[in-house]
Parts: sequence; C-alpha cells; structure tokens
Amino acid sequence: MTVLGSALVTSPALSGLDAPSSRGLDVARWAGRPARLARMDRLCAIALVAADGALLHAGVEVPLPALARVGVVLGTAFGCHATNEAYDAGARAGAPSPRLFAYTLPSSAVGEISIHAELVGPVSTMVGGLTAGLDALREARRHLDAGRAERMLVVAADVVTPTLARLMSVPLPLHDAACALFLDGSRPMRSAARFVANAPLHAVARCLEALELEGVSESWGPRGVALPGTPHELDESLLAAAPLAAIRSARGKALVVAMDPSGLATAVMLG
Amino acid sequence: MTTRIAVTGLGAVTGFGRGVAALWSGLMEGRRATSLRPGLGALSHVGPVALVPELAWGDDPSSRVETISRWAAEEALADARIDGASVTLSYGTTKGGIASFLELVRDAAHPPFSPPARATYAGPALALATALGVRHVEVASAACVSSNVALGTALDLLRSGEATTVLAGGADTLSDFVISGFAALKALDPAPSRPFDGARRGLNLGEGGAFLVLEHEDTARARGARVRAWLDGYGLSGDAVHMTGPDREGRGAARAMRAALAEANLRPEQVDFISAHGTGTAFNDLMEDRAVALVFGSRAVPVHSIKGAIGHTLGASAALEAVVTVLALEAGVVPPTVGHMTRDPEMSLEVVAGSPRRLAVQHAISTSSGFGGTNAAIVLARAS
Repeated sequence: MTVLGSALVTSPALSGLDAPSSRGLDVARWAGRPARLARMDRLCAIALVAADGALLHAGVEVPLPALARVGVVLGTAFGCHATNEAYDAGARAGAPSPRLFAYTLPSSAVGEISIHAELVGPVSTMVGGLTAGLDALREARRHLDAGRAERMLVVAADVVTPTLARLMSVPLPLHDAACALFLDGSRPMRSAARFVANAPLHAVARCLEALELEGVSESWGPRGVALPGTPHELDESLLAAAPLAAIRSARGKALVVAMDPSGLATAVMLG
Repeated sequence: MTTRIAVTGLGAVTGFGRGVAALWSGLMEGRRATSLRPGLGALSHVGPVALVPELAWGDDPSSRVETISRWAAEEALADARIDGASVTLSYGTTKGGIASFLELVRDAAHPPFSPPARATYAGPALALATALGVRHVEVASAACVSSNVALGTALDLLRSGEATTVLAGGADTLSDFVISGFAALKALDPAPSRPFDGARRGLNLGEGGAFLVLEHEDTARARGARVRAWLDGYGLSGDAVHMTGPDREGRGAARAMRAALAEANLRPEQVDFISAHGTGTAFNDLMEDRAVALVFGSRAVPVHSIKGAIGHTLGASAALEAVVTVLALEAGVVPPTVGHMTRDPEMSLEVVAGSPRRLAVQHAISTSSGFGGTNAAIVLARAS
C-alpha cells in the first residue's frame, strides 16, 4: 500500500475541538463549522477531523466524486464509551437521549466520515482492543486486495474518560487521539497477522512466526508498540499509537506491532 | 475463483431457544419468539421482545452474551465435527462487552476488569476465544451488519490463506441500555412487528447469536466434512446519506448486493431468493424494496424476513439470517415472514408470507443494513 496522506489529532488538555493539538491539519478549515461538529459525539468529531486531514494531505478534495470506489475503516479500542456513559446517565435519570443513543455505536464515526466525504465503498469498524488501529489497516488491505475499493481511509480513534482511565490502570497519561491514513493498493504490505496469546511476549512471538521473521532487533516501546528506530517516541496517545507508528513507518520498511494487555497482538510488515 | 468456501457447520441461539433446530421449526411453523415481558419493569411498555428462554433477564448481560456466543459456537463446531482450538474466530457484535463497561460506570467502587478487554466491544469475542482455545481473533462492530462483516472477513481470511478454517458469526444481548435507546428513537412497535406489511410500525428487539464454520472446499473434502452450502460473495457499502436513516432510494444496499454478486460471478437473474434485513420499520423496509428493484429490476424474487419471529437481534441478525438461508438452500423451502399480512401498495417485493414456500433455490443473497448507512450482503449457494 502507498500512504497518500495522513493526519493526527490529539487533544491532551481535553479542551474541545476548538483548538486541537494537531499535526498535518488545517485547523482553520474547521473553525467555521462548529455546528457540524457539535451535533456529533467526540469520537466522531476527532475521527472526522483526522480523516478530513488525511484526505487534504493527499490532495483530495471532499466530497469525493460520486461513486468513487473509496471506503473507510475505523479501528477503536473503546469506541464510543464516553457517549455510552453520557447516554446511560440520562437514561438512568429517566431522560434517554435519542441523539446520544445514535452515537452509542463504535461504527458511528465511519458513518459521519462517509457522509462528510461521500465515501460509498466498504465501510466497517474493527474493535479488537488496543490493537484495533492496526486491525483496521489490515482490514483496509483486504478490501484493496479483493478489489472492493481503489483507495481506503484508515482511521484510528479513541476518547478517554475517567472510567476508562480507571479501567486501563496504567501509569501513563491517556489522551484523546485520532489519526488517519489514506491508502491505495499499489504497494501491498508484506504480511500481517493477529493472534491471541497468553502474554504479550508470546503474542509477539506468534506474530513473528506468522510473518516468517526471525526476530526484531529494536527494543520494544514502553506502551506496547514497537517502532524500529523510535521506540519511545510515541507520546501522543496510547490508544492511537499503533497506527501512528504505521504512519511513520510508511517512510520505509518496518515491522509495526501493537499489543493489548489481554494478550492480543497485531503485526503488520510495511515495505 | 480457484477454490470455493464451504459452510460446514451451523449453530444458533434465539428467542426460540438453543439450537438451529429450534430456530428452524419456529420459523417454519410461523411462530413468534417475541412476547411482552412484564419482568422488564419500566421498559415493559416498549413492546414484545425475544429473550433467550434458557437465560434469566436478571443475569449479567455480559455473561449472557458470552453464554449465547459459546452455545452457538459449540453447536456449529460440533456440526462441523471440528475442534475449536484449530479455527480462527471472526466475530461481529453491535454492543459487545458494553455491559461490563457500564458496571464500572454505575459503580465507582467496582474494581477494574482484568483483562480490561472484557469491557471493550471485543470482550465477548475474547471470552469465546479463551473458552475454545482459539488463537486468532478478528472482531468487527458495524452496527446491525456486524456479523455479515464477520462472515466477509472470514471469506477474505480463507481466500488469502491467512486461515484454513474460520468460525464466523456474532452475538448480541438485550439490556436496559439497548431497549431504552431504541424506545427513545421511537423505532419500536408496541405490538408484534410486521416486516414489509402495509401497516408496519416498527421493530421488535431480540437477542441471540449464530456461528457458521467456513473452510476451503479442499480442506472440507479432505477431512470428509459435509458441505452444507457455499459462501461465494461478499459486498460492503456506505450510504453516505444519514446517520440513522437509510438512503431512501436504496442505493447503498443495492451497491452491497451488486458487489456481492460480482464476487460470486453471478448475474441478478441467477438469484432465487433474498433474505432481507426486514426490520419492520417504515423507512428500512421501503428502502429495501427500492434496493431490490435497483438490482433485480421487475423480476419478482421471493423475499423474506425472520425478524417478525425472533426480533431484531442487532449484531447477531445477519449471521442468524445466513444460518436460515443455508437451511432454506438445503431444504428447498423458504420460511414465511411472520407478521406480514397485508401488502404495502408502495412496494413491489414478492414477500414469502403465510406459510413456507417450496423453492428450488440454487443461489440466495442475504442483505443487512445499519445505522451510519452501512450495508453488507453475502451470496450463498446450494451445496449439491
């Protein structure tokens, strides 16, 4: 696959989308559209801004031409749990919000992105834990390989809540983040695998075995993501770190591995 | 297509109870698994629901969905005569482990789950993988098309050689969260639902799960497995129109069906039967009528929906419909659309209703659509 464009949105201060910390984005592009973003939940909003940024980076104007064979895949560990919390609070208070309920699906974000960019190709969402970002990359590759699409947007996004921070129980700052890649199928990944194992190290071993590699010479990053050459660079977000590694790895050959405390591991070989 | 993908095992759990046989007999007899449930308390007024009878409403919803998944998966594996540890799992769900997450939300003193993935959408899939000893898992959540996506992913994994045997399907369970949400959207019929009926008013909810064992034809033949059907094509599309309403013209669903037919190397006139999404809502059913017309023209292709009988089982629905479609291919008979009584003058669909219809079905398409404008379709073919 060739990465045609990429974008990253992070918001460490959780300060809303008015001033997202971002790279590769034209933030001013969104300044005049608060109503459009305000109708969405936060997961959809940051995913949409990242997706739009990746298309912009690739020189693609939205909406895309009618019936263009382009699709979108989202990878998310916790999806719309922030919205689940908000909806649940209202429902338990006797006032369930139909607007919020419509966003209590992790696939809501690809719906908003497909509407925004008029993407009518394959649309799906992968939710396999902290490896979901790379799972989305693999899912996009499958659609490209099967000829269902000519180009695919891959988006990884997660929104943090205090409950999620408690759930994760990691001594690390967790941030909202979304990143997006816009790909075509011209240069396939060498291989990809996803496994469940009893422990992360076993999972990595299984991935290496599947990729028919003997080993990886670089050290592993402290957050379960390995990126040869920059193992400690991924400071924006635990949850979107894996696809971010893929963005950076797209410059050259690299093995990108994401691991989940449950023992899930996904590996992709870019090159 | 160098080798076909065989369906060699089926498993299902629905409001009719455990097992494919219970589902099939309920559908063929035109019964409803849905009923009013006073035990739901404040949510009782929303209308009939189809709960799995072997499970209690008061049970932890996460445990319920894990149990449903395990029962359906074990039946499919037994039917295929294959060990779970040797398969890849492709799992689709709409709500996954949300109930576990809500436990944390509602109880600040609740200790975090270990592993934390139990409270993600992948929670039930990982619990099933652990129970079966599965080492390779894919998890998709694509609203009400989730388990068609799981089946499509399985097709890709097998065709690409990433897997040799895949257990594919999905499960979802009902909870106060889900029921109150659909009620808030005013999507529920307070009476028994009537898919494609001129007087339809909405859907009934249900819970359930279904799995299919899929493998290469060569693998299946080599081990002497019974091939029950072929999975020949998969199509996926976005409406790009509206978050909760379908494209009124049915263009997105038509794109998914056309893509699935193209993968199966089939022309529309070769399709003998359509298993529709058929929720019973005004907009969905009309959308499907338009989509079928776009793909099949004026030809009257028999269509049915099983949601009048077992409710809308969300992420499990497409896999349950795939199971029923395989059974219809095998038996040469299509179960009726329970609840359909009067024709909608705005529709031209040829709805199978009233009683089962004998059909020499060689190829069938099963289609589903969901929030966010996602559509997925699969093509199944008769084995013999």
